[in-house]
Amino acid sequence: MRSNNLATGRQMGQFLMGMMIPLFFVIMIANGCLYPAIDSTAGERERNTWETTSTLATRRLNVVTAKYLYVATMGTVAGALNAAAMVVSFRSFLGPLFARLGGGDGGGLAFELPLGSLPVLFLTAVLLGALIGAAMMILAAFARTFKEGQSMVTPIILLVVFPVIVLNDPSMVFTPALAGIPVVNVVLLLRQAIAGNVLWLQLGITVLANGAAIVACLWIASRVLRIEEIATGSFEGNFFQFLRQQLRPAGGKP
Amino acid sequence: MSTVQVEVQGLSKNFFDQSRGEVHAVQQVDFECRRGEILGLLGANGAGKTTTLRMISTVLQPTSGTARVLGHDVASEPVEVRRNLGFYSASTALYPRLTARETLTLFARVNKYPAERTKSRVEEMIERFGLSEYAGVRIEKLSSGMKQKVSIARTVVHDPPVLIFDEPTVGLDVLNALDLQQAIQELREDGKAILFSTHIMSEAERLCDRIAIIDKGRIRACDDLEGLRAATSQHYLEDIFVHYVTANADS
Repeated sequence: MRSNNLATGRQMGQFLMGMMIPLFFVIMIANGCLYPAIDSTAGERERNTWETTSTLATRRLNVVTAKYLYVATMGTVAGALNAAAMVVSFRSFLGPLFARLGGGDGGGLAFELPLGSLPVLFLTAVLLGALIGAAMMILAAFARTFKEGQSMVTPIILLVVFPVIVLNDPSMVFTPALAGIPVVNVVLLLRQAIAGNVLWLQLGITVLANGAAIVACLWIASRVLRIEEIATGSFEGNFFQFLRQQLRPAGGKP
Repeated sequence: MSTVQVEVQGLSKNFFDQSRGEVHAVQQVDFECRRGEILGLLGANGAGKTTTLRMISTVLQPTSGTARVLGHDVASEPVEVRRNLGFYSASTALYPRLTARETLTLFARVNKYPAERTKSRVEEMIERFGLSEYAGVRIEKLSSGMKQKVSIARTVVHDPPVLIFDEPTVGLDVLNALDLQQAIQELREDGKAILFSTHIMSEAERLCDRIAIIDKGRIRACDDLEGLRAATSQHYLEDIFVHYVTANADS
């Protein structure tokens, strides 16, 4: 029995990029959202600028929207820039290094990103930045110091990175059902796009599923930040303690 | 002098504290503040001064009662209220990464000061509060005295008719505190209605046209110094204050 590599150098390059880029892409977007989310909530309380912002002659919803756009934009930009930097690194450094590891076609490994994958890369960066940013703002809203914010928000990074690591199996098929799971769908969509294969049905489901998750997170965030004890930082506890308190039957001890 | 700018009626605030249970921080507070007047809220720490001022500035929602700034209700028209007042307290810090000039421009613009006059207004404030030398320096690099001046400038940059100063001299040295008092007096002369909270008797005596003594969330007396003297037969404000607070404790 003899193993025979049938993939071309280009296919092997895309396979490697498809394994690496989505993983770091998610990590970088989460990291890009992390500090702005804490800075715009707990950071404002720690610097005593929260009350200053509260007295600006604008609606509270405008302030929350501005903060959210700041967090989501920073996450999106961090993800997009890191993905671009990784592609450049693959082409400039890993390409020449692995040139001798040829594909089945006899050519060297080629790290080429299909042009069609760029809009998908941008779309996924926006979707992930918007989703992770909204989720992080919900948790960070309860933090009163930067340190507290870090411990409250960091689990989200683990939560979004875990499925990416688990799903890093090249044999996994991107089915419409998987396209309904936020974060997971973005990773699989991106992997397909890097391989030069955009699945339109899955792309549509991905946009809808993530859009719904973003709307749900923003709804929770706006509800949470409207509660005076949380907005002023006098609530002692985190999101889950708050949730338990809200779900407790009426008449029970607060 | 007679135009009422701030009108507070039956204002109350309750909140839940995990260790103390239900707290009645402010109860049935009534007062008004007129144009060109400094109304002092004089009370010990925890008396309810800051909570009252936070409700008027729309940072907190009243549990009951009303407060109006130039006729705008704090609960139903918060944006109009915020546009017409400047709020200054120890907990309203400045954004450290902006320069003094950027700070003033931001506050003028967000608080809807006419765009075409913003630049000249900012320069006027820089001149008036002696900030020329530091106008391009980031707030984080300024001394506490300079930060204080920028804070007052940002409070008044959009030219609000009502100003709230919540214990503004806390943490300041004597010279800076006197500077601040001077600035507040000048603002009164400009016709502003000023709410000024303090627990320092000399400050209240020096600055305020009328003094409201607040204790345990309730206004115990509100009059000018002569009126308070006549009502209590005491001369010094310390004695007047003690008179009302102990009378309340006894009752």
